[in-house]
Amino acid sequence: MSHLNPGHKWRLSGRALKHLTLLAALVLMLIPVHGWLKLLQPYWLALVLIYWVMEEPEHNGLFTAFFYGLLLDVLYGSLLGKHGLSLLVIAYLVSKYARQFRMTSFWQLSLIVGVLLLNDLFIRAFIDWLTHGSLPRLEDLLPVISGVLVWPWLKLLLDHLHARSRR
Amino acid sequence: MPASRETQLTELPLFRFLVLELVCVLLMVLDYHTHIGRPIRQALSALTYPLVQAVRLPQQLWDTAELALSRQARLLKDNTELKRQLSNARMNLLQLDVLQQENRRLRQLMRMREQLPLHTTAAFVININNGSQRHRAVIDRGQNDGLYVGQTVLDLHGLAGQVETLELASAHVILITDPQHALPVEVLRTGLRGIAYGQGKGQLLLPEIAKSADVQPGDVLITSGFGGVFPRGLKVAQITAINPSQNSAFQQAIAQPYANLDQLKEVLLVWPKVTGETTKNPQDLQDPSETGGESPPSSTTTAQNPAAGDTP
Repeated sequence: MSHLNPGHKWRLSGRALKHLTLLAALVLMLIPVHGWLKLLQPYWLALVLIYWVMEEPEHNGLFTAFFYGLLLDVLYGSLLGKHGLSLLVIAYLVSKYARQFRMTSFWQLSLIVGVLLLNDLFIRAFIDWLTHGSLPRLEDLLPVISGVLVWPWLKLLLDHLHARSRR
Repeated sequence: MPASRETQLTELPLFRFLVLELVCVLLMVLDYHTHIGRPIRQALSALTYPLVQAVRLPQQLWDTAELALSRQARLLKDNTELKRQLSNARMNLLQLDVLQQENRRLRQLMRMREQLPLHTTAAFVININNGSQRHRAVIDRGQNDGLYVGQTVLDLHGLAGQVETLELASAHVILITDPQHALPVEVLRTGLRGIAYGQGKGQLLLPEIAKSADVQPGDVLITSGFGGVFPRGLKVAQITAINPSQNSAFQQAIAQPYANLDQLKEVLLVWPKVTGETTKNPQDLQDPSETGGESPPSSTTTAQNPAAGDTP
């Protein structure tokens, strides 16, 4: 830890990048799209969160998940804590198994991401059912599929940005 | 590092996870049953405001650019068209004035409560994605403008919905077509009351109408004012179809809202009426403006009005 000072600096810029990308994910989720594109819109925030928790599992991803989940709840006008709760579960699972996840192959990881998104979808559907009695529809699964398809590219992009911020 | 390995309870990820999870569940329960969630939501909305603006700004730039680039000829055409519409509306308003005075006089004769004109504020719909709930809209006024939860939201053609959640500078509006929305209505022609449920798909459903009741396609639905959320007498929808209900003990009606809910742009927020005792004051305030501003016929009718009030 002789280079503590520059190391600190790097970490800060890494943290700035993390929050910038999370905010960008939120903005992406706000952009109005119509028709079938709306049904296909992936859950960007969860994807970016999965990436950062996997990269830095020791960095309190839980609070990040909680905080950004609440922001999304405010933005979407949904029940306060709904997205917070579901993102927390994702963050916890990823942080617990981050090492294994990083060992798995690129494509297997996409599948794991799909499972995580599906799990998140179940939680939110359950909360919706409890509060409004509304039942999930089949097209709610589409964001999971698009999320899995988008994940590899997103990971490449974030890897690239992350590496640059560390250089 | 080894010191921190002898983990304290609070350092355990599982512990933190469970605590935060508990906080989320608590927040949800509180937000669902009480108003305690509101200050939190409003505080956080100060943080989300820049994000909303970030999505809005390009749209506004595009709108202004389009306006700047659009041909003068088209603007002129729009202008003349609008002028024509305005003069038409003025004509209608003249007639309406007379009718309103007559109505007021009759109501006073029948000793019924006055129906004041609505006080409204305009707001713009923010075009952002608001989750998978399609029958919601976000508007650009919020707590800072004094809005309140449950406030009636109109479009220029009819009832649009009500305010559901409030942020500092924006608000989420639940539209009447949302499957979670129920609305007390009345058939204008017959006075038959019922509840119109949102159906998604841009339609309303009145599920249980007695078979003997007189409803027809084409009937106009207005708000009945029951439940106290919406003021009475706002235009809601037109009945388009009537079918027997599933167990065929009732009939059910499908209605098409007047409000253009798919493409909401501007909405009007309705302010609650001044309470019963003070109804006279706004009226007094109104009369001078009517007599001073517009046409002679209206001034004569207002002059008649107090006399009519005294006679019964």
